[in-house]
Amino acid sequence: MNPSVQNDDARFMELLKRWQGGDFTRADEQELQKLMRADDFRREAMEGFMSMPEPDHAARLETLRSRLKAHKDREKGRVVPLFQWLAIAASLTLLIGVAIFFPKIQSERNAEPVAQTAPGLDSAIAYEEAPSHNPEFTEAAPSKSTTQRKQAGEPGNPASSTVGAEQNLEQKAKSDTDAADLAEAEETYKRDDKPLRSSQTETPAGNLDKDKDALKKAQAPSSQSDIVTTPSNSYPNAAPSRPGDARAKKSQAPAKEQSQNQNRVLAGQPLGGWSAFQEYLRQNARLTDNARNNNISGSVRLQFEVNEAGKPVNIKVLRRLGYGCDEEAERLLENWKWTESAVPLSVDIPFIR
Amino acid sequence: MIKFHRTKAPDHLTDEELLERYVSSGDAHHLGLLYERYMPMVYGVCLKILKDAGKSEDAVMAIYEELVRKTKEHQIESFRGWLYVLSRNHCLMEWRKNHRRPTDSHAPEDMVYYDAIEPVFEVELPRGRSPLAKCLDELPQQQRKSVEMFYYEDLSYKEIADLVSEEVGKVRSYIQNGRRNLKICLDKHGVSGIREE
Repeated sequence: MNPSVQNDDARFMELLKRWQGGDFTRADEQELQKLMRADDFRREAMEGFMSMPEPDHAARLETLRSRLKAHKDREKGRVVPLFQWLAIAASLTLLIGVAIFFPKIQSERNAEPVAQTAPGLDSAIAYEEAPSHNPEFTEAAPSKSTTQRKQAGEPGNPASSTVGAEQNLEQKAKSDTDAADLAEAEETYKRDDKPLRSSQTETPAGNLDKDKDALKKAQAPSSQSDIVTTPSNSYPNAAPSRPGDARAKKSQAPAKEQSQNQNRVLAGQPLGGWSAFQEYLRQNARLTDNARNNNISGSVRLQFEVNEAGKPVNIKVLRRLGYGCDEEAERLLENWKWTESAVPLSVDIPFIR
Repeated sequence: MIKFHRTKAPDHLTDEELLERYVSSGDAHHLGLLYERYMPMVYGVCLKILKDAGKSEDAVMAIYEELVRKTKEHQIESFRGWLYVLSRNHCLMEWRKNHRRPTDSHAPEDMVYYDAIEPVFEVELPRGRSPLAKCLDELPQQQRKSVEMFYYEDLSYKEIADLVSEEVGKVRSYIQNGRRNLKICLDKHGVSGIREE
């Protein structure tokens, strides 16, 4: 190892720190450029920082240092990742087992149609269970038609166990549809419920991911405010890139029957599927001139609802990029048709230089 | 747990020595120390390729994971060079995962970063109708102010930030963009503003 390279690297790091902190003058810049010209690693690294001059990278590097430290302290061999995989395997096995046993359980229950609105207290009595509220559920249920909010739980529903909630759903679905539809409904629920359950019983940000931190840092605000299906179904980001986000891949398989049955919990999708929508974005999402001039790139996160006409409405910007890109993202979103959705959806619209 | 009875403190160990300690003991502590030395540079390279601070942070951790594995599998002559290649490849692969169409935004390898070799300005503020004077004139006000203060009044980012009541990051951005616009403008006038020192 070349000691002069080591010295230059040390000097480079020092200048980088000053560049980040602001104690940086023209003379420093000239010295930094010399160090960059002499070595590709330093050059590309500094080019990276210079391509994003605004954000506070120092803070992020600090975070990285603590993450690295935590990692060091924790890991002796591959025990931790192995444990996570076992946990995931166990959860999946459990869910599959539950899904298999469901038809058997529900065929034993009566098929009384259950009232959907507040006087659903009667239905609670029919089940002979104490109506209890899962605090997460009641918080999450906005003022929408309760027919479409079963999964969120309603007053009077035996929401004390997730199994109860699911039975409820199976119940109502059955009373309205054929057995054929039901089979598909079960499949849909499996997909929808699995991440939902995990978001109830574990941290809202989702636990099946390999790295919780990554997800939290990527700021999933909607998982806090709207537990229902927003985090699970609609984080197939327009540019899916979060590591280990298995959910995104799952929800890309469209369930066509969803739109036909009012009583199921509908999570909308772009017409044509997510890949078509992503393709559309790739072709059409362009940085505004304002953003390009200011060296901005990234993605805009939008939350929205779908009206009867399939148009996005109530669009909220959950994470903005600024410089006119938020408006552009909204425009792109509105120009695409969506399938009916009982729950708000979120997408990331990427704008890359 | 067993400490080698050497006189060198970890700071004075070479990369290869630290690496050797990790490989032979399996204690990730050594690898962590080694990685920390280069982490800002790995992060910077990721920034250049991925253009996203959050993704770059994730990439830095992912690269560390790869290190844990690969350092045991390969015989590494020069850790620094090898780490550089590993980081680039990881980020390029990550980039390609999300940008499969070749007609899409430019692949990072294709991008020329002229910012790296910046125009060296004349010492005196240009007067009259020289191309540089004209181009400075054409800059948006904030960029122009910051560029002039940095290059002609020799102020630091922090000092400029205080004077214009902006964040340091904003000032950096003004100077960066101002310089870029200047270069574009100067190129149009057929002037190469670059002087190597």
